[in-house]
Amino acid sequence: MASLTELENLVAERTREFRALKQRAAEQKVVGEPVAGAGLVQVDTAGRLVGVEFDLRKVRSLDERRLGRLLVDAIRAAETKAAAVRDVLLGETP
Amino acid sequence: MHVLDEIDAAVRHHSARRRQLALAQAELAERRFTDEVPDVVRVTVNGAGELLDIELAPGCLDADRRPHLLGDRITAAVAAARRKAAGAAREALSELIGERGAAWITGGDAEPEPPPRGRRSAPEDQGTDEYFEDKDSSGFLEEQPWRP
Repeated sequence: MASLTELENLVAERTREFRALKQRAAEQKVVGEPVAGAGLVQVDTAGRLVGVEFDLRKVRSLDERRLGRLLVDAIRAAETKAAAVRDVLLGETP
Repeated sequence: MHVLDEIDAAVRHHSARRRQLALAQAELAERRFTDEVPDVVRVTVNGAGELLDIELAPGCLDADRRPHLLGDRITAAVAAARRKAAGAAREALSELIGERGAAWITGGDAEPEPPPRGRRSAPEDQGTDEYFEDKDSSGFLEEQPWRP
């Protein structure tokens, strides 16, 4: 018969595995954020930038300096959204 | 030593470690890490991996500079800068809380190479894609020689 400690360890191990599975599932979701109508940045719920797409006809109306600033803003906004999505998926909202 | 003294010492030790960790994290946040694709993009992040700046080179959107690759180049530069930051953070924090704790805080190897995306992810399309990239870079698609 298993001791209480063994049962506790088993529960802790299964809990860790379940959390890891949820984490992996959450990382599959991607959040997009537009870049001033000239593109789209995509961030996964782990906070990784996974893609940047441009509409090449529209993006040429922006100068490089402004486009760089818009990209930083869009990526930060996508990261904020992605963190909120991750919290919901992992059940960590209050 | 009385048990209450032991608890008090443990609490003080824990508080000191927390202060050291907070200090190390604050120092990391002040550090800057960059990665760049020469003549295209330069990305700067801080030691916490927060994106601070994306500097695009003048003319990087010109037709002869392969602007259709710009998004992938930016993505790769951001990932590389963050990998550098995570490596430095892991090194700095592991002295305080051990390698496992530092890997946990910095997300381990949570910034892998970005996966291949879009059309280039289909192996059967690669030949066609490269063909048109070469044509595009040499100006073929802009010239439209059949027009008067």
